Amino acid sequence: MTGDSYRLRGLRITRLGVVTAWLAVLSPSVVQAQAAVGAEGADQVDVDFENALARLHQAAQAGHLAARDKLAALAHQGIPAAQFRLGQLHYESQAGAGGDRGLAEAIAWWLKASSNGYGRASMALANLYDHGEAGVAADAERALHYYELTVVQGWVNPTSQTRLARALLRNGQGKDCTRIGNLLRAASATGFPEALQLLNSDAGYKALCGP
Amino acid sequence: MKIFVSYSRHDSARVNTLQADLVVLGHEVWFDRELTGGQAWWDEILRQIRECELFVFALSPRSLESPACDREWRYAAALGKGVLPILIEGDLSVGLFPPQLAGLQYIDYREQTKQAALKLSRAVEKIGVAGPLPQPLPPPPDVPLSYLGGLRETIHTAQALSFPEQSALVIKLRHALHEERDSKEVHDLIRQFLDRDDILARVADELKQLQTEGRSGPAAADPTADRAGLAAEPSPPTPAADPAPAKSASRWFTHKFAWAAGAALLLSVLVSMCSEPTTTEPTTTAPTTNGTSSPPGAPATNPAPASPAPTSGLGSEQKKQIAKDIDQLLKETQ
Repeated sequence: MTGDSYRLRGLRITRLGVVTAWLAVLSPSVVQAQAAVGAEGADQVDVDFENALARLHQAAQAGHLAARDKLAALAHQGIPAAQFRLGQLHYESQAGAGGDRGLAEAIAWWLKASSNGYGRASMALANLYDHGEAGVAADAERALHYYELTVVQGWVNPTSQTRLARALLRNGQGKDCTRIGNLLRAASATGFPEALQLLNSDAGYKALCGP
Repeated sequence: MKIFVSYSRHDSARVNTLQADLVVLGHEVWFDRELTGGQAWWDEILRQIRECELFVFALSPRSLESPACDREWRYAAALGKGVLPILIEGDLSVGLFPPQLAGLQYIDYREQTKQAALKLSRAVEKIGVAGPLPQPLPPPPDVPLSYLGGLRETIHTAQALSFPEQSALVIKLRHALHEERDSKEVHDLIRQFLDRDDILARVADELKQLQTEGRSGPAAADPTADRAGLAAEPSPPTPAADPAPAKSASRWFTHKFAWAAGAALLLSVLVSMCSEPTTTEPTTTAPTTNGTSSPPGAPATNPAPASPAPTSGLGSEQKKQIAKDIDQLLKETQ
């Protein structure tokens, strides 16, 4: 070390150089962190928005007519999350007055939300067609379509991954073992019991794709 | 006799020989050689099936898995056509055949010998000409997804494709990949789809995943599969190989870079000061609505999606305003 500089393999490095090197390392990290904070902020707006709709839904469930009207108004404005919630409200009401009409309304709103790219609505439709209900016949092909749509629309979680894998296995697409295996392994990694069971049981994934 | 041959495109070489032998035996043979697709082409295939006097199903592991072949022979059977299965490749157990096919006598034409040709000739004559078409005609089967004309038209449309339209295309392409006839064409379509200006990031991710799956899955055996993948990433620029210029410029570089890095740091600090503060309130989770009254989707019990759900193009400010309005309304109702 001589004066305010260092020597490394013949290259003279000043203290200013050392400081700037640190700055060079740090500043991109700071910028990246700033970008992440921005993205997180945008995500937070979405979370707050979804939570507000969930509270509105809950109030409508509890019988607040103003809440129900507001939810319906938002759904009619074409907001997919509100369309899904309104569909869910109709679905829940079918046990009471309305009966089948409630289910038909639910499906209609879920279809709107699904066609607007809202994955949760596609998931609801997929499950409906997967199991069938009074008034809706089970339809494996349609269920598979909506499970696929669910994932494409970004509603990716252990449930949707496992249900899609199961639908693919059931629809005779066992030859796509790589994809099914990936879906089940991703869901199993979270400890999701349904995925673990399907992946490890002899009658599930192994039956079609081998151990 | 007018013969329709249903086959998997993977067996083209063997089917060409079979066709040549049938022509030598004095028959008129029709099979789809074209790679075009779409409803018009499928209609033409169905027309040919209706007009044929004998339907030949070129059996192989591939053709037995092909949804297009499946639909073709079932349609022929429904029309009352004579169906002659001819094994052209693979060791197939009759037990694996669909029940309606298992009941038919098939010709082993894997060894395309003179003896096999004689058996073929006798079998064709034995089945004879089909009777008149039933009235009313059975419903025509839907066009298989592997017949890609419709998809091609959509992918090449000049109009902007919405997110639902793009999502639907992804699903169709995924299914089409399973229908072996057109795997190369599907990969071409995926590449063309990715080239669209309006392709959405999430859809592009799905398409790239499809390409990867296609390469690592059954399509990997296809020698054309490499062409179907994304263009190779450009290699990163290599640093200057000659150290001398770098050394002589180091002092200049050090000082310039000091200013640049300082400016970047200052800028990032300014940006962070100017940005809107992020909330520190704990995030409330969506209330669960599961139980007997919950829809089968049981959405509220699911973990958060990997990416935020689209909300019909609402901006952040609009979402904040709606959330605020809702909270205001809920306060009033309480």
